[in-house]
Amino acid sequence: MNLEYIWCTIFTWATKDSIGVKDVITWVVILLGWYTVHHFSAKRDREKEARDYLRKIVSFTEELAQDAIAYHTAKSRDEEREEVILRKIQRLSFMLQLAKKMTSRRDFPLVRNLRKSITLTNFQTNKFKQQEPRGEIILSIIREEEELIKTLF
Amino acid sequence: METISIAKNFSIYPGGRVKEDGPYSGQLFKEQFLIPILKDLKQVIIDLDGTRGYGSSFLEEAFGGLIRDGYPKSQILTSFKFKSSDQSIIDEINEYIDAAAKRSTK
Repeated sequence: MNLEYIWCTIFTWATKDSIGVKDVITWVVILLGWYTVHHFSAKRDREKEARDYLRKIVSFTEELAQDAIAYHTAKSRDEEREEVILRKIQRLSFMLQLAKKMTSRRDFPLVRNLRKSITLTNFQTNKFKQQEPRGEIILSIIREEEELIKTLF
Repeated sequence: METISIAKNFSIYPGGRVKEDGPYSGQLFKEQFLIPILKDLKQVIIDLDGTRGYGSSFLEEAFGGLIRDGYPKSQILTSFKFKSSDQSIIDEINEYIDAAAKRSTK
C-alpha cells in the first residue's frame, strides 16, 4: 500500500472535519503499525512457503536418485523405468526453476550434473551392464544428489 | 529462420546414443536432421521443448557427435540456435560441443 496515499487521505479527512493533530498522529501510528505487521507477516509467509517447497524438492531429488540407483543396479535394462526417470528429471528441473523464482536467488542449482550422472552412461543402451552398489556410476549419482541438495539451502 | 522441433519432427521419446539403443537415438537425429543442415550451410532453431525428457547420452551423441564426425565447432554454433524452457539442456549441449571440440584438438 502506498504510504503517501494513506497520509494524504488522513490529512484531507483531518482538515475537512477539523480533527486535532493529536488524533491524526494517533491514526498515522496505528496505520503504520498495521502496515509494518502486515508487511513482515506476508514476508514470513512467503519465506515459509519457499522453505516448504525446497523440502519438497529434497524429497523428490532423493526419490529420483533412488530410482536411478535401482535402475543401474538392476540385472537388465528396464525401458519403462528409463521413461519414469527422464520424466522425473524434467519435473525436477521445472521445480528448481519455480523455486528460483520463489527465493529470488541467482545462484540456484541446475539439474544438469545430476542428469549427467544418471543418463550419460549405461542408460537407454542395449549394452546395459548391472552396476555394483559402490561402482563409479552409483557413487556419482549419490555425489550429485548430495551436491544439489546442499546448494538448495 | 527455420525451426526444427524434436518433439514434432522427430519423436517425443528421443533416447539412446546409437541406433542399436532405440528407434529415436541421438545418432539417428544427428544423421537425419543435423548433418543435412550443416551440409546445406543452413541456420535453424532447434526447439527442444515438448518431449518426455532427454537423456545425456542422446544429447552427447547428437551434438558432441557432430564434432567427432568432423564438423567444426564454429559451424555448429553458427548453424544451430537452441530453444528450450529448460536452460540446463541448452547448457549441457554446449558443454558437449565444447568438450568434444577440446578432445578433437588434442
